[in-house]
Amino acid sequence: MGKRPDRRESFVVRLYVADREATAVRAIANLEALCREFLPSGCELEIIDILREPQRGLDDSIMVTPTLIKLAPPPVRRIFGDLSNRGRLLDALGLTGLELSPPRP
Amino acid sequence: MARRNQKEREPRLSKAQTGIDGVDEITGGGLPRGRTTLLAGPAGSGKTVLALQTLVNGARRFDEPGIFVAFEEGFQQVVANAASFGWEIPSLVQKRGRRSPRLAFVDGRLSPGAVQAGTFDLSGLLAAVEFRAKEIGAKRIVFDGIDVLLVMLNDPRVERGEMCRIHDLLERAGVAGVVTMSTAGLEPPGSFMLSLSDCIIQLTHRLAERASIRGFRVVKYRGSAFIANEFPFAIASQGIEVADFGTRPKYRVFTERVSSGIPRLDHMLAGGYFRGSTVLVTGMPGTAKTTLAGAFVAAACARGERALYISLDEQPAEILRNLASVSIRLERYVRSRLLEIYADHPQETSPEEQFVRMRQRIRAHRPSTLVIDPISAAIRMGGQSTVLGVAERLLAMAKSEGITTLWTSLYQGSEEAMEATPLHVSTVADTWIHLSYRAGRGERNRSLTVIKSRGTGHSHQVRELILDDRGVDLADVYTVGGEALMGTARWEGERAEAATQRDVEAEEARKRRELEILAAEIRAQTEGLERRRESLAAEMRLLDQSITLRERNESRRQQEVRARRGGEPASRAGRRKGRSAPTED
Repeated sequence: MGKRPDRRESFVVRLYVADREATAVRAIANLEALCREFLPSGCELEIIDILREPQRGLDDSIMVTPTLIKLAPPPVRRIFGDLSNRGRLLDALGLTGLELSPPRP
Repeated sequence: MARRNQKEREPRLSKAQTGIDGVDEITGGGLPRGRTTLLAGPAGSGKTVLALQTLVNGARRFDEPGIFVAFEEGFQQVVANAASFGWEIPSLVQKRGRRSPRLAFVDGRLSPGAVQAGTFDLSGLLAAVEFRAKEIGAKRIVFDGIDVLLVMLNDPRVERGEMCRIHDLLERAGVAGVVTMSTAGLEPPGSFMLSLSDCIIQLTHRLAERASIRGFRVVKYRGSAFIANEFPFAIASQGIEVADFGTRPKYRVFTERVSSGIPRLDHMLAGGYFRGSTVLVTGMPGTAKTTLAGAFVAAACARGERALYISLDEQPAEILRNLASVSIRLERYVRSRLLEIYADHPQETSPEEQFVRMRQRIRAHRPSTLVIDPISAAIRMGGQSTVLGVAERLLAMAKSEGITTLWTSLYQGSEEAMEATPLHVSTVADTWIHLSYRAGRGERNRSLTVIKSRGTGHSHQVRELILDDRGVDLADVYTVGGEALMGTARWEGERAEAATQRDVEAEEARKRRELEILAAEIRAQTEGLERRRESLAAEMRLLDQSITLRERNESRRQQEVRARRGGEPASRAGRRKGRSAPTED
């Protein structure tokens, strides 16, 4: 499903994690790997430690960590978990289909 | 023993009052601080209401800010629910000038469109809650609907981990923590929460003979004494009200009498009902139970005392109209607000809810006189044992406040079986008056019997209750051969007696006349005898005179004889006899 995203479109995501918990470390690694593989033109990634900035967590109603919010391109999507399930992650981010012909570097 | 030792070792457990009458008494002062209290029960058993009420009371009455973490409902839903109990959440969550709000709300729901991709934990939420807790200085935190969270986690290991973290957070923050969990009988996966919690309150909700019965029970309370019984409660207009918390109220015992409103009944009861006592009036339909209640209320209002008439049957207007027909006029007292007539419909609510509503009316109106008419109407809805329990608690409450209570109860069975009927709770009532019909000679008449009256040398006689447009009264007893006569029989009896009376009077008059005649005859006879005596006396006088005359003549003749014979004069002898000497010859 979903049309192929315009590579030149800016890709903005925000990742909420709690300190350096195992889930946080895994989520960051998984997200960075994904960006390298599927978004070679780069993506704007903001990582927020909810323990240091709780107010921001409240503002975004972050209940569980890790939580990834895709802010752009629309629609805004929320994905929670350590992002280890790549299929679901790509689906939620609207990047499905790309992994079938991965432009591996 | 073990408990006492534990108490000595541990510092005294600090408790946060819930501010709910009953809950605080049963838990020995409220919910533990720095610990987790689990409210467990099926859906709709009142867990959220109890938790929210604890928070709102803390914020409003004890200056203890609180946080509500909702896993199940959104903020707007919680606000709407709270508003139905008169709790103004929006004003509590607002900042007051420079002071932080007294209540904070944290939405613990996952965004509807969120996608799960891998394992996760609750760090985000817990960080947010801890942050808010510090911000407003929270003393109470509620996690509402943790079962929803457990379903979402769907991993027993993660569940345990997260529950531990919630528990740790509450302990670290030193707040009174409340976790609500929907469960049918405390089964896994909630079982871990049970062992983790320091205090467990189980809420139940069941139906008994179509009546809703809510129960509240403290299952566990580490480091504290508590009452382990189940207590009934109701969710009323202002939140949870525990109907009764087992502590027997102390009440004043009055020796003062208050009028029943019927002078002759007062006389039967040696002056009236005792103030603060409980009067039960039983009877078949139409035996004037309401009239007796009305007379009692009218007497109280006439003394200037406040009265509350709770009708579980008729509408206030009907009661006023019907009582006016027997000259019991209560409208003026209703207008002056001395009397409140409150109609409730037992069919619509459970006995517990009714009890709570009645208690609210009593507290609001503060009467000295209370009427519940008829208590038996409540049976239509609830089970008899429940109604009985409610009735007993209501009467105990009235008694503890010195309220004289009269309650009527419909009774349709035979008089012999009456004493065994549990609803009549003859043990609860101080005075028991039974009204019935005596049928016979083609009519029915109302009769009144005082079956019992504690502390009173009351009359045991059956009286006839007479209702007419002049009012209510009791008729004198007319007994024939040990049977009290009423109605026409009484009238006939009275008439017969009157006739007899007339006969007696006539007889007496006749007798008197007879005696008068006899007396007159005797008087006449006496007069005759007197006259005879007088004539006899006269006769005797005549006889005496003739004797004297004859003697004198005889004496003169002897003198003459002596003189002729030449003897001495006989004149001295004649004088010596004391009789003047007749000069004639």
